[in-house]
Amino acid sequence: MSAVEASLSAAYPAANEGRLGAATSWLLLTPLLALFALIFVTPVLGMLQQGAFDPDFTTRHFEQAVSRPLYVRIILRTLRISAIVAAGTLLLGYPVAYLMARAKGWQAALLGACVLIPLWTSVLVRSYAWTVLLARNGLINNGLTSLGLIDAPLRLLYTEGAVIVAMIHVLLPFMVLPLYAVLRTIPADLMQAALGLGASGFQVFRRITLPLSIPGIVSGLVMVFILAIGFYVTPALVGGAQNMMVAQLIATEIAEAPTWGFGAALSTVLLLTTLGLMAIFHRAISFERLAGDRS
Amino acid sequence: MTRSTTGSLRWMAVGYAVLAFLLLPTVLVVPMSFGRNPYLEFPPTGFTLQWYEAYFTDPSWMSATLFSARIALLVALLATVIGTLASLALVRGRLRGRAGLQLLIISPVIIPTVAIAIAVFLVFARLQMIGSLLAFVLAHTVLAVPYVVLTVSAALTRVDADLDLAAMGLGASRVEAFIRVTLPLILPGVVSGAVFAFIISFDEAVVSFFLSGVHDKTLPRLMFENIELRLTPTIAAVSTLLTAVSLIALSLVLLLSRLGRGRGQRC
Amino acid sequence: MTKGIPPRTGARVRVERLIKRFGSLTAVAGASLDVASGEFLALLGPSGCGKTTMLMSIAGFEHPDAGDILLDERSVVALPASRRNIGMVFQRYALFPHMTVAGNIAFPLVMRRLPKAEIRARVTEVIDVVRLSGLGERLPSQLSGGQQQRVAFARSVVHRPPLLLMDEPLAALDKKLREEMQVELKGLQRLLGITVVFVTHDQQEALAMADRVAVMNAGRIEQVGSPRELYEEPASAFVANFVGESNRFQGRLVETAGSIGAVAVEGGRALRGRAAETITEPVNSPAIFMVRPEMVSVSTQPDSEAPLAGVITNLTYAGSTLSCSVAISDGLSIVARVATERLGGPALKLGDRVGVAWRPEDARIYPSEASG
Repeated sequence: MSAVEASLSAAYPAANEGRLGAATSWLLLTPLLALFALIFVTPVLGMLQQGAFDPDFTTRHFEQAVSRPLYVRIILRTLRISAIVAAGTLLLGYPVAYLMARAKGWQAALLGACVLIPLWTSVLVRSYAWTVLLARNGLINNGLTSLGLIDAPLRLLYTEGAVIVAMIHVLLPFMVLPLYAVLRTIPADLMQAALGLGASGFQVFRRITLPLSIPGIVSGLVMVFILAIGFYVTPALVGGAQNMMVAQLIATEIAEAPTWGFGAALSTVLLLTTLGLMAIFHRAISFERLAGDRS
Repeated sequence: MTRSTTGSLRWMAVGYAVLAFLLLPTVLVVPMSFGRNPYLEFPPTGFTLQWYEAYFTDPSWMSATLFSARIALLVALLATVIGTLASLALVRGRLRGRAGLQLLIISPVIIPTVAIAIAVFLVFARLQMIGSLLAFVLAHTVLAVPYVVLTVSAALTRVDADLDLAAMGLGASRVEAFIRVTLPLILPGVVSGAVFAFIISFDEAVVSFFLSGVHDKTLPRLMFENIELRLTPTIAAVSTLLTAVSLIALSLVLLLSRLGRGRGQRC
Repeated sequence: MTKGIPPRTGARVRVERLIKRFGSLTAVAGASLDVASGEFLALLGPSGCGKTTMLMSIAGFEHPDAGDILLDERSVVALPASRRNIGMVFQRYALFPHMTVAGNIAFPLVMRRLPKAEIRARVTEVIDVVRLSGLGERLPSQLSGGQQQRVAFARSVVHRPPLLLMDEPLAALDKKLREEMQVELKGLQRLLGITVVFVTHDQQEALAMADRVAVMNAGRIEQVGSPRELYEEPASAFVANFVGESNRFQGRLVETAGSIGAVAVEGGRALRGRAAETITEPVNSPAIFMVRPEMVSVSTQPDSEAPLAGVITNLTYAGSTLSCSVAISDGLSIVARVATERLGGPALKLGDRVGVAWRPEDARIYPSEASG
């Protein structure tokens, strides 16, 4: 039984299963399956087809993606930024998750709300806030100027750094939630026992907390990375054309190019990469985990 | 314990700092929307409601808002119905390949929205449905259904399946049993799912970007264009309003989940 | 004065050769039952014997693969559960948590579209009969376990069904409460005249409440009879073992003289008992010998008449009875239970040498089954 199945059967205890006959069950699923077949699976297959058949089978679109230096740069930039963002969310997210896991009662609820609020706010609004913060006469520049640290405003917006910081901000909750879910399961008396046996606070962390939280770490890193490579809104608004990531390239191709073969191919590559990562790390992404994250 | 307390105090400080980092940018938009200057600056000077006024009186902003609201309402309805039926099957049904089904259902969450947007765009472009209400509703429903299924399934597993059987044994048909017994008990979860679906559709930026026509734009699409051009703090006003809507929705869902935890417990 | 619901004729229930499979597992393998109108029948057996599946099939929640189910001579096997007009009490009660006690009880009447006034009247009646007066507006979560049990019962009879099915309804209660409810339920059943099929794994409960008991094992009904018949004349080793306590030895059939036989066990001893009708096998075939502890007498003067003598290895005093374990030889140990008042002379001690005996007609010999 794979981890997915294990977590799924944990989600649905046996007492609930099997109450509706197979025919009724599939009947209830028909609207969803019809919707997904028409609006999800078929279009995605069509996109794959459009990238690979133009009109006959060809790999030139895919070749184009990996041969022209501009495109290669974009792909590498995307991977680089996504990796940095994943690491960044881990470094920043771990303390928050730790705080949340140790908090009690209303404090835990408050912290939870603080993490959920950005998640529920539109990505546009959050990205926009960053454009304001990083603008020439935005808060950061103004603050630095008034503190006397700089003479002229720095160019913060439309840099790779801006993209990284803004994306860390937007994707942070996706790291905090799985981490919190795992940290919460570590009983407090484990740490107390270790302290009683003479371990320092740091050693407790290194030898007990950290190893036990690895599933959450992996889960968070995978989720953030997967989300980051396909991100569109934030890099587009905060990074601009000079720091283009794959999603922006795809959008430009579709919007401006006369034929959509290349854009479709790129999109397919992105999709397959995501699916590949999901397949490799499927243990880290489970229905249960997402259910715990969202509720 | 003092050894660890000071160490953890340092980490607590870091944690709170990160939380501030999380919240501050969104919070900062609010005072901006009341600033007097026509160009964006921070900190803003003066206090005025003119940007809000500009938003409510501008026909393009209003039509975009109404368009988004209409789509979101329809999506909430459609996704909730589809998602609830699917949850019933997933939680209570006899299915082979349940794991695969669930992977399929959550895939719109994990797969890059750009890929979905492109795929859907290619189809609707060929069908000349770009900008149509139907296209938006269908595409957004696909994105929202996974969340509805997650929420309703969670509520459903907390309800004892014996209740359904008891109702049927007492003379209720399957549908009656669902309406009188199961549905009231999962209602907080269902409404939560509906709110989720509404917000997801209302805030949805990527698919909207591709499916919007010249005259049929959703609110996020219009905002996107405005942010790129960075004209006036009207965007700040819109952002503030959007954030307020999100907060209301989130509070509703948190309240409902608290309600939901008390119901349906096996007694 | 008997309050409330006028008695109604209970239904006659017949199950004919029911077969139910789940994939490769056969839960019920051709079981048949005949329950008389107004009878209280207990379906008794260990976990997994198929008793709950039988009950669910009668209720209409499981569709049998073969066989028929008749209520008052009408075949209902094709009818869905909601149309069979039965009452059912679940192990976990399945009370609707979002409805009050009155709402729960009114549910079957609402489903039958009775006028509101009548519903109100009947609900109040039933609430009084089960002694929950005044609690009508409470929610199930505000009630104790025993009270919840009574609401479940009230809800299952308010619409006066001719048949009531109960799936281990007292399992969740503590011992004292369970015994009280056993008496109460039995009284209510007699008052209402309703036919009851009651599933339980607790043989004490079955013997205490039922008019007749059907013992099930591995999907088949091994014996149906009154509690006394089951206890005194068990038809198989399984029933003898499951109902009440028994000494039990495996051995070989060595002689049959009329209906009395003997089983040779380890150590060569021959134990004499009454051969069950099912003994058709010749001498030397494997057989099981069983005798109940209270049928074994103990005498402090082991003499040549007492066929078996041994040493007391354990004494358990239980108020009105005393159980002694007597070791006859290596590996052979018999438990005897004696009424304390009948023990004359000096008290028994550990290590005492005593003789044990029983009348052959009080012991049983059965053919050895695989699971036996």
